[in-house]
Amino acid sequence: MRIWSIANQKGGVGKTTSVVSLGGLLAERGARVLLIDLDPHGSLTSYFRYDPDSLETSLYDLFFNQRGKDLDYIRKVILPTSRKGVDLLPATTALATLERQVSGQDGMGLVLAKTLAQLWDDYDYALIDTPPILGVLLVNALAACQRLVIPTQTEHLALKGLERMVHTLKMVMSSQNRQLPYTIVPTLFDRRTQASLTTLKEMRQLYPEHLWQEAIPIDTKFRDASHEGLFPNEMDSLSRGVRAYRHLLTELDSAEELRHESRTAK
Amino acid sequence: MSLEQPNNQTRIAGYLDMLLVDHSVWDEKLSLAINPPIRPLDTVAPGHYLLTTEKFGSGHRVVKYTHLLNSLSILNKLPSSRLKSEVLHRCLPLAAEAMLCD
Repeated sequence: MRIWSIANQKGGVGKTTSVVSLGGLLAERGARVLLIDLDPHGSLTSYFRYDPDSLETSLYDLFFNQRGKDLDYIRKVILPTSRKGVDLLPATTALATLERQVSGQDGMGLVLAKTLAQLWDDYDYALIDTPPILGVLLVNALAACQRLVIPTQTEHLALKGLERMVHTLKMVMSSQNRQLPYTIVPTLFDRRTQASLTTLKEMRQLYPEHLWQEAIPIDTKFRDASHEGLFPNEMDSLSRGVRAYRHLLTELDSAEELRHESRTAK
Repeated sequence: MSLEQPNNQTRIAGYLDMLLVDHSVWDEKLSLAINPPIRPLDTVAPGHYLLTTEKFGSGHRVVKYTHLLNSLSILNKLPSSRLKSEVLHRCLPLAAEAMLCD
């Protein structure tokens, strides 16, 4: 199973859109995909018409009484989406209280990693949507994944969130004593605005090795798909945004193949 | 007198270390330490053996001896307890061997 976290310590940069878009494209290729909603806002959960305020069980429950290691229990929490082959590990708003509930307990950053280890044979990919703040949920996402994808809006304020995210990632890597590759994905790119062009240029200067060379454009089709509860590629498989995500997916998969080959060679 | 205050960096590092400590690894290590697998080469005397297994510790034997002596030195500085006495007593033959090692 390939596990990718989609994270940025700034909101509104396109994290949920990226998760849904990549998930839909993976399903199009016939992959079995698990989408994981770690954000207490539950945007990803709401996308598929589940209500984060009223769900009986959610990812929240896996943090207690070792349920995250109980495969039968985990499977009961997972919900289907509108597309066959894509499932959802949903959020409830109770996730917002998790920080307080598990405060001071050692090892709570590894719950999701252990949960996914249980599901290893059930899925080909797991995509994790994260909250935009550093806390137990974001740490779980970083500890569980093999690659971090950082969507970053092409506007000046987003650079600070990106800087913070990369810094957090480095600290997690130091704490876990492992290397975690990351890809920065420029999003909401509007070539007509100077702000987008300038920010993209700055990103290229600051993160030349980690920046994806293309950008996800602003595309109203994303909003339309969200409104209908469909994956963007189901709504319009040739829209500009979907085509950009298709390129991104190819890039991410190639990077994973390369990483796998270099690890095998060692 | 001023006490050094932790900055953001150290606070976050401490927070991450707490969240990311993997008890299962420690449980495994503890289990190996309490009940280590015995290999003939590790046996130095009947009933006594070195913790020089592949899974527990690493490096050259001399390095392990050094680690053992350092650990015992640290242990020796701790307040008296039954556990401390027991560990020191059990490690005495190994410590003697370590001290005689070239």
